[in-house]
Amino acid sequence: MVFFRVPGRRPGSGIRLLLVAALGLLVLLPTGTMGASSGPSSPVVVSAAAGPGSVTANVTWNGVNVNTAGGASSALSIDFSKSANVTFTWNTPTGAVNPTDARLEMIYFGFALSTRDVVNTGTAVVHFAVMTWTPGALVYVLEGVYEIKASLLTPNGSSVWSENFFVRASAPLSIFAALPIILIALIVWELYSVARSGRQAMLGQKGKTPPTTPEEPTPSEPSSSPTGEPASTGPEEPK
Amino acid sequence: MSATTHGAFAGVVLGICFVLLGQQFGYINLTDLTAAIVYLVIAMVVGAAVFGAIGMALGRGYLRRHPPTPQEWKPA
Repeated sequence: MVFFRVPGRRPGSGIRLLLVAALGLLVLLPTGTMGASSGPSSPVVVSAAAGPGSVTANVTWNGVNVNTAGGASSALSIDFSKSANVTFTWNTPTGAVNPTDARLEMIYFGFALSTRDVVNTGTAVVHFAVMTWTPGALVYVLEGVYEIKASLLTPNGSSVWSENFFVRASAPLSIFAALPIILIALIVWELYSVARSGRQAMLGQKGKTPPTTPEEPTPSEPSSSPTGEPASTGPEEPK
Repeated sequence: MSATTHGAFAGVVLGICFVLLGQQFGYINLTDLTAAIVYLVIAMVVGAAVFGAIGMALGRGYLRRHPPTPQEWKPA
C-alpha cells in the first residue's frame, strides 16, 4: 500500500490556525459593547473644541487630574482588576445647553472598545458626575497603553467638551491576560516552526517526487462486476 | 512549500505578534487606526523578509548536511 503526503501540509498547522483564529477574535472584540453602560447609547459625535463661551470641564481619575496624562509616556498607571473613581466637574456658560451625559470611551485601533456613561435623568441642573470605572471583561483579555476619551454630551447627543488621556493598564500579576499569553504562545510556536523549516521543507519535497504508477490488481484479489456477480474472464467452457 | 516560503509566512505572523505584544507591554501605542495599520504592515514586511532569509539559510543548511539519497526520493 502506498501513502501519499499532502504537499505543503506540515504537522501542527491545525494548532497554528487555531491560535491565529483565537488571536483574530480577541483583536476584533465588539466595539462599544464591553461591560454595562448605565445610560442609553448615542452615536459617536465629533468633539467640539473648547473655546470662549463653551463648556469648560475638569476630570480626575482617582484624584489625579487627567491633564497630566496627555501622552503615552505620561500615562496613568492603573490596575485592570480594580475600579477607579472618575469625577467630572464642569461649568456651563449662560445660554449654553448644560451637558447631561458624562462619558468615558476606551479607544483601541481607532474604535471605542469600552464605553461608560453617567446620565443625569433628573430635572435638576448639575455640574458634576461621579463614575466608578471598571474594564469589565477586558480585565481577562487586555493590558497595555490605551487612550481614553472623556466627553460631555448634551441631551441631543452632541459633544460639548472632550479630552483625551492615556492609561497604562496592567493585568493581574502583570501577565495573566488572554491576549499576551496567546501572543507569546504564537511567537514560541512560530520560532520553533522556523527552526524546523529546513527539515519540514525537505519532507514536503519528498512527498512530491517522483510520480507513482497506480498499483495493478494482483491475480489473487477478487474482482466483481458492478452488479455484484463475478466478472467473467472469458468465454465459459462447457462443463 | 519551500523553506523560504515557510520562513516568510512565519515572519508575517511573528511581525503581527510582536506589534500586538509591544502594545500589550506598553511600548507601542495602537490608539490611532492608521498608525496601527502602518505599524502592522511594516512589521509584516520586515518579518517576511528577515524570516524568509532565515528559512532559506536553514533549508540550504539542512540539505547540505542531509543530502537526499535515492531511497529518500521514493514515496514514503
